[in-house]
Amino acid sequence: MPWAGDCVSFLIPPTGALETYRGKDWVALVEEWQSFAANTPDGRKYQWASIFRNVSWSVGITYAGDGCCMVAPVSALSRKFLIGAGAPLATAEEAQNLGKGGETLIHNSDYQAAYPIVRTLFTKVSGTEFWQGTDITLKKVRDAALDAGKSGNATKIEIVEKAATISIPQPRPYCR
Amino acid sequence: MKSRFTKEFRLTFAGALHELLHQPKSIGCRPLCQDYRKSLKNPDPLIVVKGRLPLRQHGESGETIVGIELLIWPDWMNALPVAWTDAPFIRPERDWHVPLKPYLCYALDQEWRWKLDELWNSEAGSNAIIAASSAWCIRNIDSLVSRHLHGFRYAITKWPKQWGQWSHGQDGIREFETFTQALNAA
Repeated sequence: MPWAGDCVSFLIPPTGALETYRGKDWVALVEEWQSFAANTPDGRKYQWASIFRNVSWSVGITYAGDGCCMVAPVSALSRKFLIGAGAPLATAEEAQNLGKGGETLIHNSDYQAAYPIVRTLFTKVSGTEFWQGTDITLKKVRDAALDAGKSGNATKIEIVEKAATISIPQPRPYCR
Repeated sequence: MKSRFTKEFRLTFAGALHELLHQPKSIGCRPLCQDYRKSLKNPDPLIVVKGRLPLRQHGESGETIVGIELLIWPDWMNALPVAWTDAPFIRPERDWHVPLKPYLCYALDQEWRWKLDELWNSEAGSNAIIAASSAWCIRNIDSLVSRHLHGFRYAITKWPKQWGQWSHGQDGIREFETFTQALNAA
């Protein structure tokens, strides 16, 4: 896709299970882009994160309902461009323009498709169809899952019986 | 009196578990022993409850639904129902409380017995005992399966320290005894 200096567009062809991808796998791509590939071998080798330490990105990413868009390679002089049009591109651009550096914006349809734990990292942008998360990383998603899995975060069972409340212990599995 | 209650209310307990599961679901009986000679000596059947369970624990919103089967023993107030699931993401490891797929070790028998004894001795009504015990069973199964789901989704391969559990084997029983002793001392 054409690169305009302060803005770059990607088309990411779906691979593997779309459910997993829309659930959380896209987080890895966002993280890699926003951290200047800090955790990749090349990123470590060339220290891109240090070089661009004062630069941050707003990311708009979407599947936009059905993910359909039109894509064509276009030649201009000696260069070739991949041109895309369709709802995903328009929606992602609208999302990206709503955000600030370090933020990731997703459309309501993508928010609904995300796993419940991933959703907890986003807040609604009022007056729009978008949800915004800050510094979204796989570690942050995993930490949210670890926190949610604590026994205290299971439903508390309390049954009121003759003005007394019966409390059931929190879940603690046991295996011989 | 308690043994009479256990016997008379076993089907009620099974019905309460059945009520907490979603369609398609069923409730039925099968002999305790596969061997017909043994089953003649011990005619008490196992009650089998099957159904679908939308996962709602640990941040899950009920979108993921798994199949559950429960076997209810004649002395259900002393022994937890045996539970298994058809969830494809279950990690069959002792540390994940599934030593033999698909059976779930979702609670400690001693804790179950202790709490139901406490309810019995507090003279809680039968409705309260049935409601508390069935909700406890289903909530704990939901909790364990939801944790497996998170392990699968977020590549958590080792049971996290911050997730509550009883230690394996005798250590877990000792932990429970220490817990009840501390409660009694208080």
